[in-house]
Amino acid sequence: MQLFTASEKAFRDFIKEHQPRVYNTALNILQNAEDAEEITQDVFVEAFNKAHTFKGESQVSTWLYRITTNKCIDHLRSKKRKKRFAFLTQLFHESGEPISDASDFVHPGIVAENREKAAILYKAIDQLPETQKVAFLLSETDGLSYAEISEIVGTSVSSIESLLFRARKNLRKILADVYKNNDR
Amino acid sequence: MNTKQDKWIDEIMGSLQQMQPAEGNPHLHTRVLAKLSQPIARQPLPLKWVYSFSAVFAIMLMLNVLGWNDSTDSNIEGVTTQPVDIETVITEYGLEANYTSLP
Repeated sequence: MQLFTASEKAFRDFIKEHQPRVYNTALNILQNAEDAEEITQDVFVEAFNKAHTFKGESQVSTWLYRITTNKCIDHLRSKKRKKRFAFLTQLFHESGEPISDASDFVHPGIVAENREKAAILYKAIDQLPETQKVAFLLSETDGLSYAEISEIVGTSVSSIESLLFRARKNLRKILADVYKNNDR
Repeated sequence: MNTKQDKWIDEIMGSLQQMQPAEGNPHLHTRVLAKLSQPIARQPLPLKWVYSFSAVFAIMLMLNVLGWNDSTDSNIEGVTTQPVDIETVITEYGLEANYTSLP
C-alpha cells in the first residue's frame, strides 16, 4: 500500500492528521515535552522511510501507535542507562547538569481542578514496568480498546487484560503508600 | 477497609478523565522534512554486536591460549618419557665400530 504519494503536500497532510495522537501518546509515556517532540519527529521520519513495510493489514493509526510506543520504550531505556552511568557522564558533561527526571509532570490538557491529583498519578505511573505503563496509558488516555492495544503491543487480548489488571493493582498499591506516607 | 483512602485513590485514578489533547509543534512537518532531507548519518554500531564480537574474540583467545599450553605440555612430556640420547642412536644404527671416544 502506498501511504504517501511523491508530493510533499500529501506527507504534510498525513503529519497534520496524525501528529496530535503521536505527540500526546509520546508525551504521556515520556512525561517530557521536549522528548515527546523529538520522538514525534522520529516517528514520522520512520513512517516515511518504512512506508513500504506497511501492508495495510492494520489501521495506519495502529501502525503509528506501534512505532511511537517502541520509540518511547527505547528512549526510556536509553534514559535509564544514562541515569545508571550518570555519575560518569556528569564528570564529562559540558554543563554538568544532572539528567532530568520525569517528576512533577502534568499533561497540559488536564483540567485545572485535577492537576494536583494528576501529578501524583503520573509519578505513580512512572514507577510501573514499561509494558504496564504503555498499556495503561493507551487505555486511559487514548481510550483504546483491549483489542487495539493488543494489536499495538503484539500480544493477545487476554494478556492485555491481565497486564492492565496488574497495572491498576500496582498503581493502587503505590498510591496507598503515598497516602500513608503523607498521612492524609 | 479504609474507605477514605480508597476514595482518595479513586479520585487520583480518575484524574486523567476529560483530558484534552495537547497542541504539538505547528511546524513539525517542516522539521520532519528537514530531517528527511539530511544525509543519512552513519549509524553507530549496535552495542549487542560490540558485546557479541568481544565475547567471540575472548573465547577464541582463550581457546588459543589453552591449545598452546596443551601443546607445550605434551612436548615437555614427550621429552621426559622418550629420551633419545646419543647412545641410543649409536646402538640403533650400529655405529659401535666407528665410535672411538665418548665423553
